[in-house]
Amino acid sequence: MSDQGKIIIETFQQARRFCEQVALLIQTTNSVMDEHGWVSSVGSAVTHSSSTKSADEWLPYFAYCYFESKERRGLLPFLGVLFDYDDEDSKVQMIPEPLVTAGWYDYGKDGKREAYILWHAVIHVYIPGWKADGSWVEAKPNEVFPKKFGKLSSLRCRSFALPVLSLKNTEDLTRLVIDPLLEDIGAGTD
Amino acid sequence: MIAALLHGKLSRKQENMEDILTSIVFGVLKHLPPDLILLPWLSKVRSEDGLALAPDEILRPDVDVDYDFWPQWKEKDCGVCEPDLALWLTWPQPGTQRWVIGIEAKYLSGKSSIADNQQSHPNDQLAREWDNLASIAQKENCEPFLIYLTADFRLPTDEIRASREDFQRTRGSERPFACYWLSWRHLSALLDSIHNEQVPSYVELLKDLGDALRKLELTFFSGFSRPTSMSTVPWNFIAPAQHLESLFAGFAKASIFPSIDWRFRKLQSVYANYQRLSKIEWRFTK
Repeated sequence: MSDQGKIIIETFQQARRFCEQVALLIQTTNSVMDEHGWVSSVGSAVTHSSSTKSADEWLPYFAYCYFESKERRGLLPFLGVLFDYDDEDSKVQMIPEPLVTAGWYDYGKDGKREAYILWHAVIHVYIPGWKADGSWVEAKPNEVFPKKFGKLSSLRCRSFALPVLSLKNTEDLTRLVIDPLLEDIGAGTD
Repeated sequence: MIAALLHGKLSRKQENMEDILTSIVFGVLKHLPPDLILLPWLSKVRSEDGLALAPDEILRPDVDVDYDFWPQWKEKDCGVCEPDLALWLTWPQPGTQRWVIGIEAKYLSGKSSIADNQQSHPNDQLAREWDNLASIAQKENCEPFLIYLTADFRLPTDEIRASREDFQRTRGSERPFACYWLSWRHLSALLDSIHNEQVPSYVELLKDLGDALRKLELTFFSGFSRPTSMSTVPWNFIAPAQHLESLFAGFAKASIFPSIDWRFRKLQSVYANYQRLSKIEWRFTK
């Protein structure tokens, strides 16, 4: 095997290992959120393309999980892991390293949501001047998301982000991501 | 058994066996003080309603624990069953309260039996075990608990609900079905949280147990492995036609391997070979 071929094999193996660890992070998040009454609401964790016309999407750009609660139907908490997410059309600020982002959408009293919940987990990097330092920001989804994502029915969204490699274990995940999320949700609309 | 697992001496089939996992884990816990690992682990159990075992009653640090591996139960009017473990918990004072905890352990497989409408007694594995356990507890004058121990990240609601339905169908509401859930992963997380100085006599034993759970991937999220640096690969795909070359030029920029200079060569050589082929004179004639 040539050295170059070996590098490609190792690159794919490394990418797959990273995916496995992200999956474990998401499953662990599901477990902790479940203990607090928030049930995973979307079955898949990534979206990708199998078309030769969208080969860059053969590998996912991000992974996600969303949650719902019968008691708080107006809220949609989420967690996303952004691998190398980019949106050249919308000129979002490039992410310098993989990020974990979490937050929640507020759908108001009636709680009516969009038919498809997919891109919601990447909203943080569409907010101008976003940072990955754990600080919360609030935005109106229809104002920050590009029009190509369609009209969203949520009133507002709060989110934050951190470098994903800053999470070393479940304790970090809980302390730095899930606990702040649950605490912030406490202030949300019922 | 742990050494065999950690040194790769078990076959894949053996590694996947829940009995061996049960033996590895509870075989160690049996020789440790209950309040060190077993009771903190049991404190993680949850019911469908989110209820835990009462820590002040059952999980007292001075409780005595007897291990009964793979007991065979066949109570009157009940189907035969063999849970993986029965834990008998007793307060140290004679004549005080006792509990019996039946544990059905799973690793990669689900329940071994499901409801059978032809049966007059519960046939679902958990329902059958609860049926026997409740009867045994009544005779022994102790309180029963059934724990479904799995590799799941969350309570396997559908499986427990199906067991409840089978129990209610056959037993009515005279004895309510009760089943708690616990994950092997909770044990792994618990072991990670214990510092060596807390357990000076058991450091190696608990390290081996934690390593065994990690080998079987029975952990929650534990961080990311450090990526290795990638070298440049001078390989590029070159599009076969002019109009596609512009597309692939963009592809190269957006490549996930920005340092890989790979291009796929045009199909010219293939076409050239095709052109060199001799004309086939063969024709099918009626």
